[in-house]
Amino acid sequence: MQPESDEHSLKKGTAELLVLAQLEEEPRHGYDIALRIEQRSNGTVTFNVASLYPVLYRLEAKGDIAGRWVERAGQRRRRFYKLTAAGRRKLVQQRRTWSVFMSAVQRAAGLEYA
Amino acid sequence: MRDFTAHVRRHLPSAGIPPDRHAEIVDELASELESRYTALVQRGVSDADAWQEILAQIPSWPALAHDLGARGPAQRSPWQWLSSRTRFGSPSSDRWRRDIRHGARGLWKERGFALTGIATLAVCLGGHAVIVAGVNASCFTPFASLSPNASS
Repeated sequence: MQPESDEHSLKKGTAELLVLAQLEEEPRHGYDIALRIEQRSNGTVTFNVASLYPVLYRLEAKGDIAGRWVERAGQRRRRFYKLTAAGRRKLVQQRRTWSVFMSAVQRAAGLEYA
Repeated sequence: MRDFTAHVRRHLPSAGIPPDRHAEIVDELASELESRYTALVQRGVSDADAWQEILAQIPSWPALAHDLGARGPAQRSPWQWLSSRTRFGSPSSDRWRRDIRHGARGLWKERGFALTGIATLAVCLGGHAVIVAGVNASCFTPFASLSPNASS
């Protein structure tokens, strides 16, 4: 088994929060979610297909997001995901948790002065 | 234009995933890969390089199928759940063997706890067997002298 890179471990821990946050404003399909994460993180965080879809399906199975097929003329049908009420509550809670945690890590690791 | 649906259908194992769910996953992944491929080509990446980038998106199809099948929203029947874990030679059976090894390692690590548990079970089962045998012999088996066919 290969050791996980630091970036990979961090991404795994924050994957649900990142995906939920992209759906806050409007429903999006998988590629749009991945693209938005990459753009908003200035290319630091990228999701390939193999890492994005297990997260999406897990969130859907837990009822935090809901998927719906949308067909448009001349285009391949796409599955759009939207936040459910439970997902919205989870996003708020995860944001709070991560904010507290990141502040603590910043203080403990001396990142504020780096 | 490449056939992304055929590509995904060819590579994504269907074991353990209900057929309807598998078809939906194929459709969705094909759509995703096509979007990424189209974006790359529009940015001026050559067809060959774009295709290599697409292939790199999914390093292990069996691992992806396992992750998607286990977490999909479609509900699986208990039988499907059981059969997906007992089919030898599949990733599920690897997971099953891994669980057994993990359990054995845990018991070996906590040998005192394991031995106490096994001894407790042995004593209880032995005691239970003795009690059942005693009750059976005294209450349910007729005495030889009361049997009408018994010779005195």
